[in-house]
Amino acid sequence: MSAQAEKTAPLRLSVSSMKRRPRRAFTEGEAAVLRLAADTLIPAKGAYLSGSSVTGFIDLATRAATILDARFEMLEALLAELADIPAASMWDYLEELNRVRFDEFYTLSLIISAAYLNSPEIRSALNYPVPHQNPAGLFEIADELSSGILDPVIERGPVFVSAD
Amino acid sequence: MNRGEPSPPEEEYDVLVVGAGPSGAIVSHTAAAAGLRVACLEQGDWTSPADYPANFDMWEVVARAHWQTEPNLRKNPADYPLELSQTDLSPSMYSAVGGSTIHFGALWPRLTASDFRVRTLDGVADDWPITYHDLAPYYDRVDNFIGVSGLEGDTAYPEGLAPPLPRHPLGKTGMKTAEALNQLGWHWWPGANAIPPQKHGALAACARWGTCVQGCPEGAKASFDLAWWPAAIAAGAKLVTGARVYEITTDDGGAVTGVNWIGKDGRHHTKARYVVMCANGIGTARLLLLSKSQKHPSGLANSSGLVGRNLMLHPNCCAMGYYGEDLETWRGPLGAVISSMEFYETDKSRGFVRGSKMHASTAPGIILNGIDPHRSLPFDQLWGESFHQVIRDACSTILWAANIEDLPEETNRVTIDPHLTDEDGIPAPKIEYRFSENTLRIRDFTLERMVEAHKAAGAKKVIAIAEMPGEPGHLLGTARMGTDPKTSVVDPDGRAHDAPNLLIADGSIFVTSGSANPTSTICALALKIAENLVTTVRNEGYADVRAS
Repeated sequence: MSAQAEKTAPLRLSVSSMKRRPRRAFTEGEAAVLRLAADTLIPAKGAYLSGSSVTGFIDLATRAATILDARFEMLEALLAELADIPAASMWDYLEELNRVRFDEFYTLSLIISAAYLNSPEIRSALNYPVPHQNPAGLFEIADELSSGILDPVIERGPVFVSAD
Repeated sequence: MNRGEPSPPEEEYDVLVVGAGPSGAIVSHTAAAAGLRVACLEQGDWTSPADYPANFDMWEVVARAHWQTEPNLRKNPADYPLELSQTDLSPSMYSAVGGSTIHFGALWPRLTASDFRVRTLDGVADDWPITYHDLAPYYDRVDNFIGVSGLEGDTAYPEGLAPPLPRHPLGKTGMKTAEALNQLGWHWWPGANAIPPQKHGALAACARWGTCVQGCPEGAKASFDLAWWPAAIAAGAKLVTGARVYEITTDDGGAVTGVNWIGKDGRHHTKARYVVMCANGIGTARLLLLSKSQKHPSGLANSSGLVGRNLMLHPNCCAMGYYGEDLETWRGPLGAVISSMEFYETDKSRGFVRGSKMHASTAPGIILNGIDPHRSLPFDQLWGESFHQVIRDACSTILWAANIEDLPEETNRVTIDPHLTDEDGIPAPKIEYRFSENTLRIRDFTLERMVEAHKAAGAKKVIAIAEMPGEPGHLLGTARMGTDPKTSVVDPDGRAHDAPNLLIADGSIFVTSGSANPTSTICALALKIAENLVTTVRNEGYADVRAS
C-alpha cells in the first residue's frame, strides 16, 4: 500500500489501522543502540546467536517498529536515552527500566524479540510454525477415545450437584 | 449535518436493539424472523477475517499492537474509555458487529444446575428465578444454530447435553493432560467449543490456525458477526453501524419511546415500541444510568438502586506448563481441548463456597505464551543467557486456565464518571471492583490445582499467573433478574420492572456468575427473552406486520 493510499484509507471504527511502511529508517546511532540492547538482553551462548547477530536484525526490527508505529515517539526517545548508557551498564539500566517504566521496556524488548525470532536462523533452529491451515484428518479423533482414556471419568459417573 | 444537529424523524420500529454482539444478533434475528420491524444500533462496524493478525508477518506483534482486548489500550474509534482507578481488574470488551465474540476463545460450557440455586444450596447470593432445565432447550437450539462441537454425556451436567457436531481431536496436548487428570482422579471431558469442525451455516470448517483469540482468519469461529448476523439480516433486521446510543428516551408515564444516538451524519432519535439492551454488563448499565428522567430520576429501570451494582468479572488465572517434548502446541483450535469441572461445585472443606472451571488448551505463539509469561519472573530468568532456553521451552507449552466464580457484591459496580467522556462527549463508565476474600481463596486453590495438573503431566517448568492482562471479558450482573422489583432490575423474561417495554438480554441480567464461560448462557437467555417478546408483541396485535 502506498503512503498516499494509507492517508486516504477510509476510517474503520472497529479495526486498528496498521502502517505498512516505516516512518523512517533507524539512524546509525539508533541502530547501534538497538544492537547493544539486543546483545544485552540476548547474549550469545555457545552456538546460540546473540540478539543482533542474526541476519537482517535491523530490517526485522524496523518491521516490528512499523507495526508498533503508535509507540514510535516513545521508542525514539528511549533509544536517544539509551545512547548515553555505557555497554557495561546496559544490563542494569534495562533491568531498572523493566521495573519502573515497564511499557517502554516492553516495547523495546518486543521489537528485539520479534526481530530475533523472525530471523532465518532462529526460525530454522526452532522449527516452530507460523499460523497456517492444518485441518484435522477425517480419522484423527477415531483412536483417541477407543484407547479407553475417558473410561475412568465415565465409570465415576455424575459429578454435578443436582438442584432439583 | 454535523454530529450535533438533530436529523428528521425516522421510522418507528417494533423492536430496537442496542448492541450487535451475540445477544443483539439473536434478539434481532428472532424478532425479524417473526415478522416484526427490527433495527439494531451498533457503535462499531464490521471486521473481516482478513483483518486478523494471523494474516500478517510478525502476527504476535500485530496482535499486541492492534488487537488489544482492553478498550483503553486498543483505542479504536468505536471504543469508549473506562475509568479504572478503583478496580482490581481491567475489563475487556470489543465494540464491533459480533461484540466481544470477535476476540473470545469460543469455549462453550453451560452453567451447571447448581449455579441457578446458590442461595438454596450454599446460602450465599441469590437463586435465579429460572432453572437449568428452563434454559436447557434454549441452550440446545443455540448450539444447533451455531454448530457447537463436543462430546455427548459430560458427567458434570444433567443428562441430555449433546453438542450437535463432533468434537475436535484431543491431539497430543489433550491426551497428555487427560492422562494426568486420570492419574489424579479428576473429572475431565473433551471441550465444547463454538468452533465447527466442518462447514456449518456461514461458518467455515476449523483449519486449526491456533489464533482463535486474536480472530479467526478462516471464518471458522462462531463470532456472531459470522455465526448469527447473516441470518438476522436475511430475516429483515436492519443493522446500523457507527451508531452510538447515548440515551434511552421515555414518555411522561415512564414508558420507553426509543433511543437517541449519534451517527456519522448527526444526532438521531429512533422510535420503538420495545427497546432491548444488548450492550454488555458495562455498556447497558452505562446507558441506563445516563437515561434519567422525571419518572426515572436515578436512571432508567433503577428504582431498586441496583443498576450497575453486583458487577461480576470472573477473575481468570492460568498456569503455563513447559514440556520437554513435541506436543504440537502451536495447533488450534484454542478453545478448550479438555475441561475439568472437578472443582466447580462447593466443597466447604476447601475454605470457600462455589469454585472454578478449568480448561487446558494448546498455546500458540512463542512471544504470547513463552516470553510474556516469563516477564512475571525475575529479570534474569527471561533475559540474558536464559532467553535461549525460554524460547525453546516455549515451543511446547500447554495452558491450563480457569474462570473463578465471582459472587455478587453491591460495592462492585459501574457508575458514570463525572469527568471522563468518549469522543462524542458521552460520559464514560467508571468501574469499581475489588476481589472478595472468597474469590481470592478460590483463585489460590485453583492455581495450585493447575500447577498440580501440569506436574502430573510431566511439565519441566510451570509458571502460575494469578492475574491475566486483557482478561476478563465476562461482564455480568449489573441489571440482575428476579421476581421482586426491590431486589432486581428485570423479571425472568428480561423486562424491566420499572418500564416493561424495556428489555435487557445480555450478561447484565445474570444473578450469579457461575464459573463457566458465560456466552452460551447469554445466548440461551437472549433467545428465551426474544421469543417471549415476540409472543408479547403478537398478543398486542402487532404481529406479522410485513406478512399482513
